[in-house]
Amino acid sequence: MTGGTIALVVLIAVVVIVLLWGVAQYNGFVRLRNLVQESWRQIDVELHRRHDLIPNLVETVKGYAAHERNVFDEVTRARAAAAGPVDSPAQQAVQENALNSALGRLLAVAENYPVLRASENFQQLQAELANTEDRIAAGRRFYNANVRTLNTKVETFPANVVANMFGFTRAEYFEVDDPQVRQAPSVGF
Amino acid sequence: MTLDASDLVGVAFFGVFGLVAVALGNAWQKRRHEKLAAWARTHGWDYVRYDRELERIQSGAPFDTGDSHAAIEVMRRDWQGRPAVSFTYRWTTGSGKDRSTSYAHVVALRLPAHLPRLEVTPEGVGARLIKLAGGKDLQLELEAFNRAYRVVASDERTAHAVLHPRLMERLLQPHLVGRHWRIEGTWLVTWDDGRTDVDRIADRLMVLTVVADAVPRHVWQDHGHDPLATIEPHPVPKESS
Repeated sequence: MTGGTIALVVLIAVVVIVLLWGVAQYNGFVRLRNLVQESWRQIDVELHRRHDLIPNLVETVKGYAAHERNVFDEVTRARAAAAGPVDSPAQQAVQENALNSALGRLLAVAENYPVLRASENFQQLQAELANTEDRIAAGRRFYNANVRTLNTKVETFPANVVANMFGFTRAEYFEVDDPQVRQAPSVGF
Repeated sequence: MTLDASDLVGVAFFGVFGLVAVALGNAWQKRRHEKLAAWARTHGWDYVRYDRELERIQSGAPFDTGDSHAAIEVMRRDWQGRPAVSFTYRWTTGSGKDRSTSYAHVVALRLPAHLPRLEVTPEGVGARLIKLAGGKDLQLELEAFNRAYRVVASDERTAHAVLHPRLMERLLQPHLVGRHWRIEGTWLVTWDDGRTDVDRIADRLMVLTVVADAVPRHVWQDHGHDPLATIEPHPVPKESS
């Protein structure tokens, strides 16, 4: 075997190894991107579940505090905005933060009505809301962990070469301000 | 081959020595069982010498090591509303002259529903070596927790739901940090090397209870159990006629 042949074999081996590595990286990116999308869809399901609970909650509070019209209108508007189409997790987070604030005011109003607080229907709705917020918080942690893994891979060398070549980009985190949604769940210690 | 008198004395000596050793071993074992049974009685536990059902309650350490597995020195009771069990897990490794017997003290809580495997191990030299060799470690949002523990999960979504910030902070408290535990199937388990140590049972159960209490309702719901559905309603007082 001549020196030229050896060099050619080595070159082919290197090219094959690089190609295999590239394929593995590409598949890894696809898997991560799908995981991020799937975990976002799960959050979306839980957000819808929460949006569906809110009209019942508003109606229940209305039954005891009909004159607090401003608060009800604010919650209804914020809910409609949050349930409407949004372009990105960051935009969804803005809408959810507004809804959290409005809901906080609604629950503060409810605090002033002991009969409402004692009502079984209201307690059930509150428990369901807390449970759904726990689900959102857990989904958010899972989604953000997947985003972190994807973003780290997109930015680190040499994987970023494959990312740039095939257009894999950073994903957006889903950040919410509401401490309840961040710190949930409501478990008894 | 013929044996002279001194050989016979030697054989007899070792024979007697062996019998005495076996007798002493049996007596020690019997005494230990009696002591454990007495302790169990005074502390509200039911005690049995062995229980075959517990030999394979989970996969993974210590249940996947060696052979001739046995769950001995078994104690059961209800612990804050959950069935609890403590036992010595015995197994053997090697064969012939290299055969050796090992023990682990296992403390476990029975869970109301099957949950996917989630194992939390203190971050030590062993865990670091495993990670260097490509072992997984789920990274959570609390960096102090990531530094203190290695987390392996068969279902990462459930792991993120169970290991929420409040539980992570709790597990970093000085009296809880450094304990390994594993959820798999309907058992939440922790274990230490060596036979049952009754002085450790309450501490171990406290850690397991913290973990079991912290599992959010929605995780149970997703696995076929709703904790709120099992709460008995308050009895309605009878009206006096």
